[in-house]
Amino acid sequence: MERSRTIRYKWSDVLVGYTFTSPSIVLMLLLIFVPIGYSLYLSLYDTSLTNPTPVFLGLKGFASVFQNHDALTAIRNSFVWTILVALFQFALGLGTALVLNRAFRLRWLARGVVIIPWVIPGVVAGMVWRLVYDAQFGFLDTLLARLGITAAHIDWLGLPGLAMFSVVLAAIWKGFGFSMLMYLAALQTVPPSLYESAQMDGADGAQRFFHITVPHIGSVVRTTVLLTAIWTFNYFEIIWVMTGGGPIRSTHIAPTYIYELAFMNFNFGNASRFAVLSFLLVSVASIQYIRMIFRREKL
Amino acid sequence: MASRSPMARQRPLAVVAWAVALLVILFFILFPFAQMLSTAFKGPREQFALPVTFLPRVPTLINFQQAIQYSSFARYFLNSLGVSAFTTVVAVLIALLGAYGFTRLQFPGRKFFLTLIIYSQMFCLAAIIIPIYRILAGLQLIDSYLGLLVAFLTFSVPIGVWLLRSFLHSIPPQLEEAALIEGASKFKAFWRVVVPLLQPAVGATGAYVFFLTWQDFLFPLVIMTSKEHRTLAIGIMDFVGQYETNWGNLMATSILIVLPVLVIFIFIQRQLIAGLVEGAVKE
Repeated sequence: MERSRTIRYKWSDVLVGYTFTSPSIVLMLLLIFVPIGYSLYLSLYDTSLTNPTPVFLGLKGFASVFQNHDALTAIRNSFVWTILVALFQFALGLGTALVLNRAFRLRWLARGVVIIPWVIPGVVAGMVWRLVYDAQFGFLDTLLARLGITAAHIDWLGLPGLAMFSVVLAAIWKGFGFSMLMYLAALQTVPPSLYESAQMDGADGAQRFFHITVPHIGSVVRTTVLLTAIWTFNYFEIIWVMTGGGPIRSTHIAPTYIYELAFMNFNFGNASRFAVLSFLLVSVASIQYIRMIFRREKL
Repeated sequence: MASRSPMARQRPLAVVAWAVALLVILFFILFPFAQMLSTAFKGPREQFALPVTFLPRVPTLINFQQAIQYSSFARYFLNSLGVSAFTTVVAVLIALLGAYGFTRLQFPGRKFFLTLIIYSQMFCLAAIIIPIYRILAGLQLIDSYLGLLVAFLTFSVPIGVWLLRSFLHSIPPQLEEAALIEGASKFKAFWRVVVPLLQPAVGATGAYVFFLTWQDFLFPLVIMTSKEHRTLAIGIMDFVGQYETNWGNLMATSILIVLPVLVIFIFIQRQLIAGLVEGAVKE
């Protein structure tokens, strides 16, 4: 009866269901979906400080985004940033989960320490890393000099080629604790008896990892990587605090570029075009993510 | 006994590799905190002294004293506390009703609207910051606590629904069904049976929402245009000068901002992590 396509609704369920869910539904429509419509509208017009009466552009404005050097840099940076951060949060998160999946004294403490960066505010993390990277007072340069690796004062956030990798490292540090938690929880669902019988069959560590661990945690890994990639793409403050998108726009990503266009250059048209592109890109990833998690739950 | 010490069975090389990996990870995590703590406890002269000392030669509390005495600090702190607390109450109430409706009740459009809410939770907020700013400006809510609260609801409500739903999944529906058979209404079953059982989950969700709004940066940056309405996360930038940054004060203030967050997290971590793990990988 339950399996049939047509669900027979009970009127009391429907009534209470709409009453309970309408505040959140209405709020989301007003706060997310009306604004997105407004962004779409703004993106079709040329509105900037020099141009007080908006001029209708249609889709022509979007073509100019792809001809603008700064915009193209921000798009390329967004991809580099998202891919590198998500990839290394996965690798470091999984590695740390494997290290912490084994029983040892004070394991709870080590686990707690690994999560701290994820818990602290992004602004604080950004400021601390800015100090670590400081060419005069930073511990990184000081340590490298003490170890005799390099004596030069490297300006980690001041060199256009280097700054992106510096902020990427800070973001990996900030977020990989979350991935670690997910992977650790998944590792703990693997029945230990599987490892024991594999060991008796003479499987070595690598074989056990690829034939038992990987299949068991695969789906958690896929969803976690996608989720962290979405969060990373949307992440604003760590880059804003560390570099403000500089030097020479080498660390501008979508959110920081939108902010600069809108609230520093007051070019709402260009900012909205970029916002719409980011929204479309994130939506593709989000829909994929929602499909993954719904597959696990009968709806 | 052998099963109690799994390491005894392992080759020594593997144990050494494992220990090295653990130390490298801990070093990576703790290195920035070492600088944060060291700088916070250095006096005004030592923080700018070269060569840099890893441990403060003359540890002092002067930075913490100056941070607390900084006249705007109390103001920023109260702003953050007030807006975060009110947002948490409003968001958790709305999310609690929503989560129950989406999890336990069947109505047309349920899946569609639920998808919409989960989707909102991953939304690129920078993509709607301009319309939000303009709408709030139209309502005369720029630079107001209410305006910031409304903006915070964009992410706190969907996250609340999402987390509470994963907690609700762990409560067997039979308990409510029993109440319904005894003649209680849907609303009564929710209020008398589900809400008391969900209390720890509501606590964890509330703390998480508080913690996210406490550290949010983009919305207060755009919405709070005057200095006296700033929140701590924005106010901390006061110590960043155009030419010189007072790192000692800045790091001491950072520690003061982080402490409440850490304390909250220690209390809710078990609940919250269970909910996050459940919520992020399956609905």
